[in-house]
Amino acid sequence: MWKVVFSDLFERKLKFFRKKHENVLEALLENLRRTIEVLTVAKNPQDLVKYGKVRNEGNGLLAVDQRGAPRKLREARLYFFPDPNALTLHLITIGFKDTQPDDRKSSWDYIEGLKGVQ
Amino acid sequence: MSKSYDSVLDLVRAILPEDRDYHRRLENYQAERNVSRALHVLRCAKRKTLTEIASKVGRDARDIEKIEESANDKLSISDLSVFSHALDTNLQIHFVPKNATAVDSIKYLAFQIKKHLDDLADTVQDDETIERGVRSFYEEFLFNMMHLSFVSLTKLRGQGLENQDLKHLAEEARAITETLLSKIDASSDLSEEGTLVIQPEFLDAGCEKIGSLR
Repeated sequence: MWKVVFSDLFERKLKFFRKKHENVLEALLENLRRTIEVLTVAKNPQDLVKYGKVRNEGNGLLAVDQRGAPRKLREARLYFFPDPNALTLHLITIGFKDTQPDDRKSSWDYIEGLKGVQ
Repeated sequence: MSKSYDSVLDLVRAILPEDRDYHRRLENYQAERNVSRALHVLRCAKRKTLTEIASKVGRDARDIEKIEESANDKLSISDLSVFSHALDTNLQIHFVPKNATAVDSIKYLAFQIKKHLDDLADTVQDDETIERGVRSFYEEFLFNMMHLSFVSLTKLRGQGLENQDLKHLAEEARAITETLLSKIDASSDLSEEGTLVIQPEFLDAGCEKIGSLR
């Protein structure tokens, strides 16, 4: 069974989205839940992308978006890194489409840091 | 590194411990989508993409995606039927009491299993080949149920399972299965109605072994 852990940045971003964009957060968290459930049956995290709901953000980084919400919402991403060896999903950050380059960069740095620890 | 969580709701409760309104709201939001989420997960478990499903039922991939994103009150039986057909499955609908506990669910499933096992036994009639096949399946089933029960039992001790524990449990489950089946072969007794009467001592060996694992 996959376990979920989160970074300090993710915690701050989740609190921010709760305050300012709670509908977006709801949609992102629903898609995150689906992703975790699919991971338990799909096994290989790379398969997530072909089943939909999950985007490949490069260097092992994946993201769910806000699609599926009952009304149109501003485009957002919840970035995560699945570690199949530890069966752990690292939640790294949340951001809107316009901060995607910075969010990706900080997420990639985070993943590099994880690899350094292992 | 922060603590790990088993679910999204647990994680949100940990980050926003005082925000009970949002916990409730998120729980409701996710509960309202449990059917479409199940469809999405089922499709992925069958290793099918949206496009594959769509082409099988002659619909657009976006139509299928919409079904997977719908809240429960927006889904129709027709939507479920489309999915069922696309995934080569039969659609069954169950009404479960709102406050059903895990024990209720296990009992319900146990009765369902009993019914299917009886149906399987009825297929044997006088055919020895089928009987051997059915018997082999019963052994496999009994072994797997024992194994699953043992794995759950270890949770009572609050311990995770190591590989060697699993190996040990598998050996125990196999030993109990063999004991039960050999005793049934040796001295099974049929009542007048043709129902197998299981002698209490059949189960003793199994209970002793389960007890030793606690």
